[in-house]
Amino acid sequence: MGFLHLFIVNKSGGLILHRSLGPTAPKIGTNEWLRIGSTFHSLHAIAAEASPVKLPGNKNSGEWAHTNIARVTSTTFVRTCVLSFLSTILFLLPPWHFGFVSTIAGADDGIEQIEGGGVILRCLQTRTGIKFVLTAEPGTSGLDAVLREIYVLYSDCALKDPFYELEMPIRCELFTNAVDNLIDQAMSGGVMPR
Amino acid sequence: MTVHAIHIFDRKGKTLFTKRYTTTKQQLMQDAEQVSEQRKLIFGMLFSLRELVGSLTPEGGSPALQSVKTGAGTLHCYETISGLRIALYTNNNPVMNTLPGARAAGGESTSITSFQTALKYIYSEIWVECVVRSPLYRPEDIQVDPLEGRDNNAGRFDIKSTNFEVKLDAYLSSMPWFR
Repeated sequence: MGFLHLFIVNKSGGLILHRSLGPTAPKIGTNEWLRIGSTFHSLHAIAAEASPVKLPGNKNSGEWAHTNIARVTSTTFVRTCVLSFLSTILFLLPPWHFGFVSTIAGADDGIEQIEGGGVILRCLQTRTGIKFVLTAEPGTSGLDAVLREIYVLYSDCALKDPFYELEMPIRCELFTNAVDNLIDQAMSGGVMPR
Repeated sequence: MTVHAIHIFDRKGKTLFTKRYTTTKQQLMQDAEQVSEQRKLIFGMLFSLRELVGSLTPEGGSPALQSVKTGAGTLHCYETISGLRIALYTNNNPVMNTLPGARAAGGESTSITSFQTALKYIYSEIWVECVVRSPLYRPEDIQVDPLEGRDNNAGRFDIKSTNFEVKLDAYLSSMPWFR
């Protein structure tokens, strides 16, 4: 029982933070970490593709267009406008241009949790495409709540740091300390889910 | 819970057996080539995920990959010493999702064990019994895909000639999570 590692991958697959959270965490070199980060990023996408079932909204499910159009077109006026606009767009754009629409719609698909013999990995992907990944020993509870708290800490400590650049590695003492406190709190009493 | 599909891969990533239990509108549109591409994707994913899990596992823990949960479904995986991989796609268990916090983790680990036991049973009691012990069985010469190797059809071992599929169906449909 205990947390092992935390790593954060930005929306293009680059590793922006990695650290070990417990004494039992295996030692992993920086190059290895970069590899793990980008491998996880691509496997996240592949897992959604390879699955025989897909969430409505995943770009290959073939349903996103229907659901999105249905959601938007509640009134007749909007329906006429949107349909004429969409048909123009659909006609003009080559198929690969739908990528940006569908990645937003299908953001919830992808790896949520991996269980192995000696490790359990939990991933939280935000709406902006950043992945927070936490690994722990099997039987550890509250991974999801901790991940959500880490997202809050990231927004509070890293994003509000005037010297922090988006998509770049996080070097922020405030964030590091806050994560340490959070993990201590999670190990002693548990974190209340938001 | 619903079981969507089961795939069995050999050490090199060749599909030995594949079966779908549910079909959606989108799958009806796919042709055989797309389906076989998707299986390659699944094997590749299992292969690299095992490496990833192996490097993240602390010393002393078993580096085996047990399950991968995505937004839409869960992939349960069992790998034998000889490198045979059984992959089973199911729904995400809605019971586990409604359980809060600590109880969810407990419930999940028991259900994972039962999936691992089921997959182990499929290997040891059904695959070994029906396929490996078949007098016609030749390890490197299993006919799976009608697409590949039509020309030298003679002397190929076809799993359809054993009662593996019948027994597998009977076992899976007897499971509480099958439907």
